[in-house]
Formats: sequence, structure tokens, C-alpha cells
Amino acid sequence: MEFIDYYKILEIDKNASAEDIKKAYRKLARKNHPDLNPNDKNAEAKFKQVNEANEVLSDPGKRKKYDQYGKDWKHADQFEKGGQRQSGSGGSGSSRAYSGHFTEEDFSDFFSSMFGGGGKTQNSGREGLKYKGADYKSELHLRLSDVFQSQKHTLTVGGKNIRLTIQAGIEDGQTVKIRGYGGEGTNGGPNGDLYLTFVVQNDTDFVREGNDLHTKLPVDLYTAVLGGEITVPTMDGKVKLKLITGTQNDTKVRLKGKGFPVYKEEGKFGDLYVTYQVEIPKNISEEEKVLFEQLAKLKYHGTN
Amino acid sequence: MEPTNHISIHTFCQYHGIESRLIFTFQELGLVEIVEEDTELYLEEEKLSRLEQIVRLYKDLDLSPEGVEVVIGLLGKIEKLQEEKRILTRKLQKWE
Repeated sequence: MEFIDYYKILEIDKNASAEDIKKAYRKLARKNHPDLNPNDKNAEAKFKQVNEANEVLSDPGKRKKYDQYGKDWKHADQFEKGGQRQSGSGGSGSSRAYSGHFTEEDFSDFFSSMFGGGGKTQNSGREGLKYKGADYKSELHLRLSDVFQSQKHTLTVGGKNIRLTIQAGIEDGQTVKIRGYGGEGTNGGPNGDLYLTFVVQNDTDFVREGNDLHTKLPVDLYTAVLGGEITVPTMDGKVKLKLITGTQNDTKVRLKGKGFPVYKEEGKFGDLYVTYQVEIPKNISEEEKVLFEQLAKLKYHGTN
Repeated sequence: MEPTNHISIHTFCQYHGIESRLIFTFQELGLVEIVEEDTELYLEEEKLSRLEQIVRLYKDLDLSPEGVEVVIGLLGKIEKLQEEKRILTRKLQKWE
């Protein structure tokens, strides 16, 4: 556990007045507020630090203790042993009641070791009222090849295990709401909900566009010119395709139903689009060169 | 259909330490919908997270209700642009 310089966090000096602290806090809170920086984990972390610093420095009692023990915070507990411990209620005027991002109020270990228990005292005086618990937000990272088929996952959020069936075809960035898996309600109020966002990383050679997949397939020159059979990889195995003679570069074919599963519509699939990329040989042998020259002569001199 | 749960404005305001007048101001600005039932005024549970975001912006950032309205409008625009960007990025991958 490291010493945290709350003055540095608020970018103020040690003699800062209460007004300076308030101003500095407001300025940094405006800059890093999670509502203004959605999905920005750095801003979120900074905002938590700023809040913690403000919790301490805006409270004269806490500020005094912090200034007094400062770097020797490890010994602060020893000084206070014998029932002298501050109760922690400290008269904080803060009424931050985050039902959105910050219900956990996870202040640093440093804060807890110095002031005990974290800044959770704002609920006192509200006994008897039922409140819905906080909503949680979380991300689940999956690979594209994972979401080709429905599968079961067990997640642990806030100490609770959630068994979840992820339906095939879930989109990157899609958010689902899982009722009742957020923070606990107060005084018997309902639990909050969990908003789970899926981040689907593409680990395949296919490009996904909605339910359709796209891929580029190299075709050698001879098969393109003469026609023949080629093998195309799909998400569920390989298929063989017939190539007509004189297949052009960039020809696109559609394989119906070989795309990605449609979310929550079992048995329904998008299409797979295959674009042929005819490969022109780069390094040819002397023998091949002679043959190509013969072909060229045939072409330009029109003999048969 | 799931039943919609209603939370009384009084309870909401007590919890967040705000005056109910503020909720009416947000209503006038079109940021909140208030439901009336048996002469009591309620908020819809489904829309509480949005209202809580509005209250956070108002309290944490010391903004005026009009300021909050502007921020909410801009956040909506950013979200829309980010969604468009996500779709376009995915389309662009095809050309890489």
C-alpha cells in the first residue's frame, strides 16, 4: 500500500483554503466525470481518486488527521488504539449517491487504513426506506468464433455467480440487461440490474457485417482460366465450389446460409460472400516463360 | 409485458437529497417524464438511471438545469456518432 498524496491529486498546495479545494475538486470532477467520459476507464479511475482526495481534504477533521500523520499513516492506528478511533461518520457533507457507476465507492486501501470503512456513511439517517440497489456495468470479452454457437458461461459479478446462456450471433457492442444482478437493495428494496456489454473480437479471417460474412479467397491463375474446383473455408467446415472457365479477378459469389447465425432466431443464418483473388505467378521458371510466350504469340498472331 | 414499477417523486428526492421542484424543472425541459396516478406523482423505474445521470450531472458538476439539458443533448449526439463510427470501422475492415 502506498502513500497517496491527495494534494497532488487535486493539483493544489498544502496551504490551499477550503475554497481552493472546492474549486480544484469541481474542475477535476468536471473533466473526469464518468457521465461525460463513458467507457473511459482512465477517467473513471481518476474520478475515483479525485473524489477520495476531496472526501479527505474537504473535511476539516480528516484533513487534520491526514496532515498530521501523512506519510506515517501506518502508525496512525497505533496512536488511536484504545477506543479513540474515529467512528468514521465525521460529519461529511458529501451526498454522493451514485446509483449508476460508483456504488461500490471503492476508496483506496490507504483511505480505509486511515479513516476506516470507506466513505459509506451517507446512508445513515435513511433507515426504513426501501431503495433499489445500484446498476452495475460490465464487459464480457468473447471471440467471434465463440459466438458462432450458443454457449453457457458462468460469470462472477460482485461475489455472485451468474449462469448465462449467450445466444449465437450476439453483436459486438451489444448490451443485455440482467435483472437483479446489480447491487443489493437497501432495507429489502429490489436489487439493481447488471448491464453486460459484449466485446466480440474477430479471431477469424472473415469480416462480419451484420449476419453476413465476407472473405477473400486466392485462386491460382490456371484454375481461374481453365475452371475447376476450389475449397472454401466456412465457419463450420469446408465447402467445395466449381469455378467456371475464365473466372475473373474480384468475382464475388454468395453462399446462402453460410454466414453468421441470426441472434435469437435458431437455425437462421446470414450469407457468406466470397471474393476470388486471382493470383498472377511472380517467379516463373524458364520453361513456364517459354510456354507463356507461346500463349502470347497465339493470342497476338491469331494462329488457331 | 412486464409491469412498470413506479417510484414516488417524494421517495426519489429524499434519497438523492434534492427538492421536488428540481424534478419539475427537468420535466419542463423535457428531460423527465412524470406519471400521475391517484393524485400522486411518480417516476418510471425503467427511466430512473437516466434521471439519476441527470441528477449526478446537476449535483457533481454544479450545473444549472439548462446546462444539464445541453450536456445530455451533446452526450446523445456523441453516442450516436460513436455508433456510426463503429459501423463504419467494421465496414472499412473489408478493404484492409
